[in-house]
Amino acid sequence: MGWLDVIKDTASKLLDDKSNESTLYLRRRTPDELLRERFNLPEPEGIVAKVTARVKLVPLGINALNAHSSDFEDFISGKLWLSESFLMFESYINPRDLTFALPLSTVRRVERIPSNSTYHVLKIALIQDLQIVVEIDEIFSTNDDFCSQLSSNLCNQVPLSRTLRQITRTFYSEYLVESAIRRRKGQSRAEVRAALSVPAGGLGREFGYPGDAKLSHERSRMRLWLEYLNSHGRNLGLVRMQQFFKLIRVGLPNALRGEVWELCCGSVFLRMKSSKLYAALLEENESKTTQATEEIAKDLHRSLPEYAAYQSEEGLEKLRRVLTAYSWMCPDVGYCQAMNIVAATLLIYQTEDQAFWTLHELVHRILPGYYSRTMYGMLLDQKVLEKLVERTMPVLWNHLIEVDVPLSIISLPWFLSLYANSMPLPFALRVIDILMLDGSKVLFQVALAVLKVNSEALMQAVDNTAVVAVLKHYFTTLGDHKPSSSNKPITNFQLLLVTAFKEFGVIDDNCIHELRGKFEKEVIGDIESYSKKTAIRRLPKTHNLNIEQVYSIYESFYISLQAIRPGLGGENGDLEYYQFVSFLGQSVTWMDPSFVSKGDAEHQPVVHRLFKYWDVRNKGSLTLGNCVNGLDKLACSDIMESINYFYAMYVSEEREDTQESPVSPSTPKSPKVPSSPTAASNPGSPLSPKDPKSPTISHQDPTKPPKSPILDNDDANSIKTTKSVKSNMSIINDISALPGLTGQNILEIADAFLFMTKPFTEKHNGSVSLDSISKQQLRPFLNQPDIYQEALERIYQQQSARYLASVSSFIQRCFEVAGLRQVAPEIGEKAAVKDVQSLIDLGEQDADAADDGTDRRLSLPHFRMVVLADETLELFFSQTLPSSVQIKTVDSFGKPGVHRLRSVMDTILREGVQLADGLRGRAQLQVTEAQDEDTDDLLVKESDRDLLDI
Amino acid sequence: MEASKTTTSVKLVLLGEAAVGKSSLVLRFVSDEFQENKEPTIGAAFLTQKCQLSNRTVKFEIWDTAGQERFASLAPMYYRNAQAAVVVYDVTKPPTFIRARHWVNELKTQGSPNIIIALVANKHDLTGEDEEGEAGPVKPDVEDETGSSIVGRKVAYSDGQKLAEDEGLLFFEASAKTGMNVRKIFLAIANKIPIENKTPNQSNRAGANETVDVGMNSSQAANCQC
Repeated sequence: MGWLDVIKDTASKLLDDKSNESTLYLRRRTPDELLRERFNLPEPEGIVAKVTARVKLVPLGINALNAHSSDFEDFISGKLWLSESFLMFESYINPRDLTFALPLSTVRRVERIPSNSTYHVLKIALIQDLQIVVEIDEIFSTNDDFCSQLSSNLCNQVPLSRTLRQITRTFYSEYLVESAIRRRKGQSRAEVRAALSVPAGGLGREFGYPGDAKLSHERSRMRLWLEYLNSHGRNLGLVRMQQFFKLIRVGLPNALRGEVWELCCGSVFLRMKSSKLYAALLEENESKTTQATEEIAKDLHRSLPEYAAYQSEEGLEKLRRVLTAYSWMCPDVGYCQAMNIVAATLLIYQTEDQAFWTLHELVHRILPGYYSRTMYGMLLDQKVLEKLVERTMPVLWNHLIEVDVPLSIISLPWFLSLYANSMPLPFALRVIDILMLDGSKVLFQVALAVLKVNSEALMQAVDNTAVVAVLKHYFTTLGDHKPSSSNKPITNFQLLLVTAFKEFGVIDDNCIHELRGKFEKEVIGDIESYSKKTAIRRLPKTHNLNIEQVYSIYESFYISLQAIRPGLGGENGDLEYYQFVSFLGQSVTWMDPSFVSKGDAEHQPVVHRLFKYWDVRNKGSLTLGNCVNGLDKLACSDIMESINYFYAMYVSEEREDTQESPVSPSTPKSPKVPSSPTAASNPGSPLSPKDPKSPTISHQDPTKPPKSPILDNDDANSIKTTKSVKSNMSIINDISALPGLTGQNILEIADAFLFMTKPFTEKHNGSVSLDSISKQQLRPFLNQPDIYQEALERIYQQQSARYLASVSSFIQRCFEVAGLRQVAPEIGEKAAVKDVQSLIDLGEQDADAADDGTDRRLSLPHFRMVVLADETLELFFSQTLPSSVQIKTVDSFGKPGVHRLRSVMDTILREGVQLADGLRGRAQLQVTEAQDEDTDDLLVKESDRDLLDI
Repeated sequence: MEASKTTTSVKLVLLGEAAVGKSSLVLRFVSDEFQENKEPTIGAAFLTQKCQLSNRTVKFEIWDTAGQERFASLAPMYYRNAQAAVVVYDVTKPPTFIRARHWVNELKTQGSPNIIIALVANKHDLTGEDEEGEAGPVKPDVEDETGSSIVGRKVAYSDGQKLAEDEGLLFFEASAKTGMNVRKIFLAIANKIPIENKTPNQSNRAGANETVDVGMNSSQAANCQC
C-alpha cells in the first residue's frame, strides 16, 4: 500500500469512526509509540525486531569481585526488543526483576556461542565490564533475523562511539566508580582527586542541598548506590533490577540525583542525541526578546527564592538560560508559571544542559499539556483526579461536594509544581525521584494518598478554610514521626508513600490514559468555548455586524487557519494571505467559490488591497480583530462611509510609501494616520503600548484604522473616550488631506467593481442575482408566469450591460474630472462598452503616460461626485457591497463535522511521521501484539514495605 | 460584644496580570507583611481574613489567582459564585491596566450578578508620590543623582477613576509594600456586602491574630469612592 493510500485509508476510517473524534487519548497507540513510552526512548526509535528470550547478567573483571547478589544466579525470561539504536529487555513476571534499555553504542562485542539446545545463545559484552548472556527462544529463522539485524544496527552505531565517550565524562557515576576503584587499589584521597576531575553538577555542589544530609542517611545511600553501580553497569549501560527501584524509592542521594533523573525519564538520550542544541539555541537567539522572555524575567527572582543559589547572579542566570532556551525550542509552550519552580529544582542537581533536556521530557512527555498555552493537560488531569477520588473514596468525595470545596482548585498547584510549592522541598524531591521513574501516575497516587491519609480530618472540615487548613498543616508536618505499632516509628511522609504506592498502586498508566480519553473532549470543548467568548469579548465593538455574525467570523477565521485545535494551545497565529483568501470566500458573496476559483481569487488585486488595508499592523498577516473590523466596514450601509472607506483603501498605499515617517518607529503602521492637525482628534496616541516608556496607555491593539468613525470605542482606546467623540466631518477632512487617486488607482477601482459585481453579471448554476434596480423592473412581471422567464432573462441581460456601462463611464468621468489629459474620451471611443477589461488595459497605458507627466489626482469630493452620478454605482456602495457580507454559518469546533475534519488533519500529520518511519524499513505494525503488551503491566508490587527501610 | 455580631462570609477573588502584586495585597491584608520576590501563585491560593464592621463581621474567603495569561482559562473556576472581586493593575505598567479592563469586562459578563468589583492600582510607592497628596501626572522613568532609576507613574489616576466610574467599581490606588489603602479596599467591599447574606455566627472561631483592627473609622472608608 502506497503512503497516499494509507493516508486515504486512515482519513476515511477516521471519518467513519465516531469514537475517534478526539485525538489524544482515544486513538490506538502504535507499537512503536508504546515501546517508546515503555522505555522513554526518543523519537523516532521503533521496533526493528522483537523476540522472547532468557537473560542472565555476568559481571566481569573487577565487577565480578563485587557481585555477591543473587541478581546474577539465574536466567530471567522476558522480551527482548531491538530498535535502530537501542537494545531493550523487560522481564515477564515482574518487569522490575530485570529491565534495560541500552544504547547500542554501549555494546562492546557480541559473540554467538555454539549450543546444543534450541536456543540461540549470544554473549553481549558492554563497555562497563558487564556481560549479558542472551538465549533467544524463537524458531530458527526468527533467531537468525534478530542476530543479523542486531549486527547491522550495531555497525550503524560505530560512528557514535566518540559521542559516547564525550557524554560518559559528564556522569557523576563514572567518577564515583572510578575513584572507588582507585581507592581500593591503594591510592590516597588526594591522589584520586588529582587524577580525576569531578564532572560538572548542579548548583547544590556550591550552594548546598536542601534537607539535612544526616537525617536522610546520605552516606549510606551513597554506599548502596556505589555497590549497585559496581556490579550492574552505570549511567547509559545501567541495567535495572529490583534493588535499583528500591534505591530510588528511598530517595536519591544528592550527588547522583541529577544523573538518575535523566536516566529514568530518558532525557539523557535526548542530550546524547542533540548534545549541541542547548548552546546553539542560546547563541542563536541571544538578546532576542519575546513574551516568554519577558514573563521569565518577571519570575526569575521568584523561583525558590529561599534557596541561596537563587539569590545569586550565577543561579539566576542559569535558570534564565534554561527557561529561555526551552522557550526558543518550543515556542508553542513558551513559558508557563510553575516551570520556573520545576527548572529551579532541577538545576540544584543538574547541569544546565541536563536540566534543559529533563525539563523538556517533563513538559513534553511526562506531563503532556500541563504547561501548554491553554493548560489543557492540567485541567484534564484534575478532572481525572476528581474521578479517581470519586471512585476510590466515595464518602470523602460526597462530603467535598456537599460542602462545596473545589478539589481540583486545591490539587492543581500540587500537580503543576510537582508538589514543590506544597511540600517542603526535601519531600517534594522524593516525589520527583519517583515521578521521573514512573511518570505522571505518581502525581495521582500521591494526591490520592494525601486525601486518604487526611480523610478523617477532611470529613470534619465544613468549608474551604478548614479543608485548606487541614492540608496545609499536613504538608508542614510531613517530617513528623507517626506513632506506629511496630517498634520502628515512621514519618508522615513514609506513610504517605506507602499509602500512595500500596493502596493506589492500581492506578496505573492505562487507567489514567483511559480516563483522560473519557474527559478529553469535554475539557477541550470547555476551553475552546471559553477562549471563543474571551476573544470575541475583546474585539472592538462592531457597528454593522451583529454578534451572531461575529461568532461566525470567529469560526471561519479558525477554519481558514486550519489551526490545530485551539484548545490544545498551539500557536494558532494569524491569517496569512492564502488563508485570508479562503476566509474571504466564506465571508463575502463575490468571493464565493462558485464564482471564482481560489487560484483566481488569489490573484485579484482587490483581494490584495483588502488584505493590505486590513493589515494595520503591517505584519503581512491578519488577526481576528483585523478581519472582524474589516468586514464590519464593508458591511456599512451608510453610503458616504462606504465610499470613503473604498477611497481611503486605494489612496492609503500612496501615503505609506511617501509619508511614513521614520522618525516615530513606535507608530503603529497604520496607513491612515495623517499628520494633519485633525489627527489630534484621534483617540489613540501613536505610542506603542509595549513601550514601557510610553507616558500613558495608547492603542492596545491597533486593529482598527484609527480614523474609523465606526469602531472607535475599541476596548483599549476608550480609555480616552472623553476626547474620542468625533464628527464625520473631521474624518472626511482627514481623508481629504490624502493625496487623491491616481489614474492607476481609478483603473484598479474599476477592476474591483467588475470583480465584486460578478454575482450580478455572471450566471452561476443557471441562476441569476438581481440588484434592487432590476428587481424593481421585474416587479410588474411577477404575476405573469407566461412571460416571467423571458422578462427575467431580458432584465438580467440589461443588468449585466448596466454594470459594464457604469464601470466604463466611471473610468471616463474620473479621468475627465481629474484632468488626466484627454485620455478618457479617447478610450471611450476605442473600446466597446462590453469590453471593459480592455478599456482598463488601455487606460493603464494612458494612465502610466499621464502619471509620468503631471501629478494629477482625483480628490475625494470628486470621487464621490462621480459615484453618486451613477445609479448603479450608488447602489453598489449603499447596498450591493454591504449586503455582500454574508458570513456562512459553519459548524463550531465542538460540532462533529469540523471537529472530525480537524482530527483527520491531526492524524494525517501524525500518520505522516509514522509513515516516514515505516519507509525506513521499520517492521510492520503489529496491532494485536501491541494489545497483548498492554496487559503486561499488571504487576504486583511486593516490596512496598521497603519504602520504610533506609 | 464580638460574639453578638453576625458574621457574613464573602467569597472574594483577586484577578490581574502577573506580578502586579495580587498576592502581596492579600498578604498585607491578612498578615500585615510584605515580601520581596514572592513566588508566583500557581493556580490559586486560598486565604481568609475577617473585617469587623460596626454592626457585623465580614469574613473574606479569598482566592488569590495566578496572573499569567494562560491561567486565564482557569479563572471561571475561581470566580464562580464570588460575591466580590479585586482587579489589580500595576500603576507603572500600562499593559496591566488593559488586562484589568479585560477582567472587569469578563466579570461583568460571566461573573455572578451584582458582584462587587474593586479596581486597585497597586505599587503606588514606585511613583514616588506622596500618599496623601494629589495623584501626580504620568511621568517617564528618570535616574536620580545616585543613578538608581525611579519608575514614573504610567497610568494616570484619572484613567483608573474613569474606568471605575464607567463600570461602577470601587477604585483605590494602593501599595502592598507600604500598606497604603490596603485595608480600605477590603473595608469598602465589606461595607457594600448586603446584610441579608449572613451565615451562622462563626466569630468565636476567629483567632485574635486574624482580626483586622478597624480602629480607623469605617464610615469614612465606606464613603470613599462609592
